Amino acid sequence: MDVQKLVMMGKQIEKNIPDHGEAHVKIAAHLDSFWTPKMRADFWAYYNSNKDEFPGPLGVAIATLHSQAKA
Amino acid sequence: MTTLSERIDPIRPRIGEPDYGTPRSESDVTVTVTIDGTEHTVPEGTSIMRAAGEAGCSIPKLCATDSLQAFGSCRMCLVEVDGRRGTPASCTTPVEDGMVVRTQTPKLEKLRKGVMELYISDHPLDCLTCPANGDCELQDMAGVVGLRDVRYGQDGHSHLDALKDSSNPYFEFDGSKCIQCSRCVRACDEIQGTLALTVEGRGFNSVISPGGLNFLSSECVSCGACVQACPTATLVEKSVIDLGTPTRTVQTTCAYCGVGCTFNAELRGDELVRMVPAKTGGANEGHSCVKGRFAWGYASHKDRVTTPMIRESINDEWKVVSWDEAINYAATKLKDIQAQHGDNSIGGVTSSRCTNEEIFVVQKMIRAAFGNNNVDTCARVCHSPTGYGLKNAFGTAAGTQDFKSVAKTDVIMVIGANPTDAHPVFGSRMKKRIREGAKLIVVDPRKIDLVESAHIKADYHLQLQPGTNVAIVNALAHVIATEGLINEEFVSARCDTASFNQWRTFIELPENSPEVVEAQSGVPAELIREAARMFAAGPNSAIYYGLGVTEHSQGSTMVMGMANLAMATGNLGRDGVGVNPLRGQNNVQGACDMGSFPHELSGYRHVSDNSVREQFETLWDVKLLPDPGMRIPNMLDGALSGEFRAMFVHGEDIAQSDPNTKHVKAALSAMDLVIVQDLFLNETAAFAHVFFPGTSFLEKDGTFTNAERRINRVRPVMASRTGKQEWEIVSELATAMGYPMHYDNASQIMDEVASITPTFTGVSFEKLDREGSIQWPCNDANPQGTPIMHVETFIRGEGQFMETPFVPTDERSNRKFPLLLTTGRILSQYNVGAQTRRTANSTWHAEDVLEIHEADAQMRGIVDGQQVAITSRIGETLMKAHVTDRVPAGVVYTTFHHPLSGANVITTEFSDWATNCPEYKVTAVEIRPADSSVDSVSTLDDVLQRV
Repeated sequence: MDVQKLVMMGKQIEKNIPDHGEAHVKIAAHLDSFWTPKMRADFWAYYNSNKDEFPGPLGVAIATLHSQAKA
Repeated sequence: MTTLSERIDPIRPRIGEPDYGTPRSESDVTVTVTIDGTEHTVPEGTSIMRAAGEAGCSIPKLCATDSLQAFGSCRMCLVEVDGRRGTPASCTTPVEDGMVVRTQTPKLEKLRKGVMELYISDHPLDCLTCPANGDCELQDMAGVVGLRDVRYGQDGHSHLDALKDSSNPYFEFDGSKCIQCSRCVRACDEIQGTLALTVEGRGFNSVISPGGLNFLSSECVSCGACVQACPTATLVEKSVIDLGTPTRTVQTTCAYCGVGCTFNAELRGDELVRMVPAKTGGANEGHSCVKGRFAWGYASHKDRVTTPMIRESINDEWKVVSWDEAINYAATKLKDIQAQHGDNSIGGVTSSRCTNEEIFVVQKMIRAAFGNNNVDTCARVCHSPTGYGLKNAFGTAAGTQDFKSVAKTDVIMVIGANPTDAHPVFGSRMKKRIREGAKLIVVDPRKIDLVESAHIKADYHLQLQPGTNVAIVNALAHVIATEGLINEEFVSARCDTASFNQWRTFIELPENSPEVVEAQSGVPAELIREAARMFAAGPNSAIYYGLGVTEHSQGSTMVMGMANLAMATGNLGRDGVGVNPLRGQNNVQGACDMGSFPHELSGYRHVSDNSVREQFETLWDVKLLPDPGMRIPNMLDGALSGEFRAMFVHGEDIAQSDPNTKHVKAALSAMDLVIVQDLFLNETAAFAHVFFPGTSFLEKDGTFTNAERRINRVRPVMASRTGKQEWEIVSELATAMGYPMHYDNASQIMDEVASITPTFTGVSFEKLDREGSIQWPCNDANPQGTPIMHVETFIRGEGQFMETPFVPTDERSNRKFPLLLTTGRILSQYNVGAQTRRTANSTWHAEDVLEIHEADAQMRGIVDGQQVAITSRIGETLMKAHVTDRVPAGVVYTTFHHPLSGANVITTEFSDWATNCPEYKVTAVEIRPADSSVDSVSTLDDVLQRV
């Protein structure tokens, strides 16, 4: 999939999950529940090279998912 | 020797269901009466006619039928009651405790015979050539009363030369046969609620009239209620005139919308003569619409493909082959693609038009034989946000009520739905309740019929800008929270306190106030406040919603917002309340229940749940993947990037129904293999390499699950025209791929579903045949099913409030595209029109048109009926303009039933944040006269060539 589409989807999810300090957990759960492993991996690869683009909970979420997958 | 009156039973006519003359009384109190010497106990309020009928002492009748309130005009049903003078009409006289009734006396026989003699004196004596011969209540009653002679002759003033009206494509009106019983008029009023028919004139000159020039040009919606109610051949189906009276019946379920009406398919030999709505149908209780009642001719349309076909390239001609060759060709190709590109390079789509059993085997084939979770369903593009939102809030992905519940509702809120067009039989139930006095709030950018029509007027029409649903539902909840209207007792007892408190803090923020939302939505703040107060006051308030809620970038948020509203006001867990999705297709609910989503197995259990997955692995003897597979848009995107190479498309036409047609067609073109299983060579089949011919609903054996979770049997009315059931094809394809799959019949598939799905454990064909239908959950805890959910507790335990911030869509009007296009359905057509376009329903809607407000039309020099070009940033298409005040200035509207109009050529890639349900309901467009453009679009073909 076009990674820019994944970025757009990720940012849309981030905008729609209110953040009271735990949004990254909900976003991570959402990506884990509904995205394929390849979508998550592709998004992680993009995130890893463009971290400045993800200052909010979305970046934390994808990093968390990646570390969980590695573990 | 039997007499005529013994052979003809007015209660049980030869074709059709028993007719007890008047409706059943719902009273819990009983009374005992003596009828013709025998005691009978019946509910208080029961008519003498019905009590007698239930006791087996049927009373002659003509103007009475048990789907209508008693009228008392025909004077055929007179009886004698001890202690009372005269001969009261048994249909309008309720029984009383201790009452002694005689239905057969010499006096009554003389009276009835005299009345019948008058009827026959003004009736054509052409019984032998009449289309209702053998199925005519007047004929039957003449026999019952023993009429042998008519003393008056037929030379006087009569109606025998009354004109026929054949304008309706499905039925004929012959005034000469009318007996003025008014059953047709009352059916149109009481059942359908259109009030299209009337009695014109007085006394002997009175005639039934559709109000306009003829039936076709009148307000009649062709639901067929009048035809069904008619006791003679005055109103009769043209198919009966052509084919003759049916001789046998098979009960089955309609394959159109999510109401799921039960029909008696009436046949003559093996030829289907007519579809008559069944009074025993749990969803429809004897009513129907123009689609289910009449639009079944597509099943035998000449366009049906009944043999398998293959081709190497989509540029080749189709080659007709045997089933074995087609299945082996497809299996070999699928395996080759997987060998070359990996297991995840293939997937499939299940269809909400197919049976639960067919859907279950398709998702099983994909998970077990394809070896991945790349299965999705067309619910992706309609009600996937319903599944997401209601599961989060209540714990299960389904509506909360049965359809009957609306009869107990005091305040009905319709959001983004058009029940009178898209779910007409339920729409009639709703209108009946509104006529009885229920309040109505409509939230819709468009002035749908419910806003104002015969005897219906919405108390509030919140005519919001497309894309602002969430702002409106938040504003409604804001009023309820800030004005002390929350049902604290319900919330405290039933809902999660922490989530409620967090939600309350959020919803009371000024940003959610009606005054702020007015600027976003265009709805006056005071209207929002008044509507909110009305909803909170109830006492029974219910929300009914459709795709105008879900097909938005915040579809899932909106579903959760409505759940919040229902919980905050305590409107869950009893009759008359609830959050109720009106499902688009006949088996959307079932498709979701059966495990069609890439992340869920049947019963909405996530594939990552090890214990659940292990159950399936044991039963299916295969290893399943624990991660979600691709959704439809992922598959299409993956095709363009080369990672997804083959798709099995079961009974869907994604090239027409999915958004951004150019993108969909490019993706289909990029695939190495597309397998289409369908009735027709649809738009998607143009990109297919294998075509498996499917079966129509008249040939299927299985079940559909409607919007109220009601599992209905679908029984084969005729043999499969392809020689196979659809689940057989899928099983054979799976087997050819190396995963043996075999069932002897559809019942075995449902048994497998029941064995592994907790909400279905009590379901079987045998039980469905015995009970008629069952609403899931049906299990040990609820052996007879569950009409109303969340009665004592929510499925998830405590109801979960969710914060629902309004996030405006990125699709906005601007200088280049200043109008917002939204889409919907029309009564006579269904979805992409593959079925209804192949019937006479196209009489009413031969093409899609663009509704545009007069101000927008004038500004662009557009007049009514003119061809216009509709342009979005995605594409361009052509339609005729219809200038109307149904849409506000700044908003245009169309339907998507015709492939040539290509509504989805212009819809965008935006989708719901949680589910990727496409944002069909908001597309920024510009409109211009098609023949005045500099870049002139001369023909529709030109447009389609560009796509």
